[in-house]
Amino acid sequence: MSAAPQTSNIHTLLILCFLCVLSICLEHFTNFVNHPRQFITWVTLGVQRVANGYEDVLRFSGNYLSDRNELLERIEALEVENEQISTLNSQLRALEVSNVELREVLGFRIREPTLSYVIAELAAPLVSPARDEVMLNRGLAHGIKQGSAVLDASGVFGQVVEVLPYTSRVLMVTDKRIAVPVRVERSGLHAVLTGVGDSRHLTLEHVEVTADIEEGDLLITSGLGGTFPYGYPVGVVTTRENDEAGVVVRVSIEPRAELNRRRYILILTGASYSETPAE
Amino acid sequence: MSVFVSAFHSFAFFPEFVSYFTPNVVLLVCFYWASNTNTSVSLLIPFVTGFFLDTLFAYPFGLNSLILCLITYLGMKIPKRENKAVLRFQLAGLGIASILAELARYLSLTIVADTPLPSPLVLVYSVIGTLVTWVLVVFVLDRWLVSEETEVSF
Repeated sequence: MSAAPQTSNIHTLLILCFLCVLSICLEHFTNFVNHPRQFITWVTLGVQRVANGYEDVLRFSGNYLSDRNELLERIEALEVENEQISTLNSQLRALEVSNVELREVLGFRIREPTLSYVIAELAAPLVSPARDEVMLNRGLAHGIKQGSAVLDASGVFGQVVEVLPYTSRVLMVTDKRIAVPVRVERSGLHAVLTGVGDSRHLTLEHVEVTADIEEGDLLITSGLGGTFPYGYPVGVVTTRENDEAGVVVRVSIEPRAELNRRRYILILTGASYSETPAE
Repeated sequence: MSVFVSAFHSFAFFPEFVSYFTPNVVLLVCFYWASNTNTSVSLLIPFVTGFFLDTLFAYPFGLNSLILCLITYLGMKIPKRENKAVLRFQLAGLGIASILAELARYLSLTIVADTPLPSPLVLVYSVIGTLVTWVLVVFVLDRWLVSEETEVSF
């Protein structure tokens, strides 16, 4: 290689490196790079759809080639499941009515949220030992806001941390940076749940040894803080151990949400979820 | 190859720890292209590719571009013997490059995105995954695909 292209290469490298460092600094201190990032997101969305296309083709082919007996069995199983869900739903409505009556008797003013949601599809998993995040294919254009709660059919999935025009980044409930206000369904104990960076378990912060919490207890969202609506399952207590000093307990929780298996997820776009005592 | 890797990953259900050894595929492609082919590589390609990666995987905007540009440049500088890069130099170069790339990525996540720093073992796993994949890439692609071209070239 001659000297001229080498000099040209090193000059190009220096210029490009300077641009990269400038871009990182601009993003850290200003919102200037949001527009190019949004533009690239828009471009990559098409590529992502093509990349995910073969999975859809395989699923479609699988369904098409399934034999009749298998389909009939699936329909029968779904009908049974539908029957069970309908029965549970009617029981829940009855409970809801009595709940409202009891709250009125106790003098609580209820602010029931109008739960509006958007169904999003997983666009890209960003799971690594450093962070548990996913990209969903819904963003500003679909009414998603930063901080919205994300749920799946089994429980709390996570929280939206970044919204782009057509995608959003969601911090999964197992990430170390997330904190979910929860309460123990059996005893009513309030606590703050955090991730530990492992998809198989979560933990509770600062729980005293005297706290009424046992293995097998279901944790639900407490509604405090206004991000997560009240009453959604978060996880089940698997172990409870005292620490060496005997002051606090280490509580390990198995998440209810099917974090690595869901393709469709709900993003809540409703407003407030808390309730306050009547004046 | 990208389609094959993607399809294989969607069919094969590996245990979680296998994901720790996931190689840095884009880094490998850039390094292979720069060090193992005799074509000249424009630094603009890794620069633009890096911005796509930053957007897709929510890294600080410009971080992957910086890493890929440096690694492509390093790949171009690997000593060659009879137009073929020397494997031990490639492995040493790639090892250093991937360690620095992983360190830069995780440190940037800590400083810019406030992500807690993972165990140093995670960095080691990723570098091992990249180096093992590199050996496979060199032995499979280089012997099967590039060797046929070199026979007819001069």
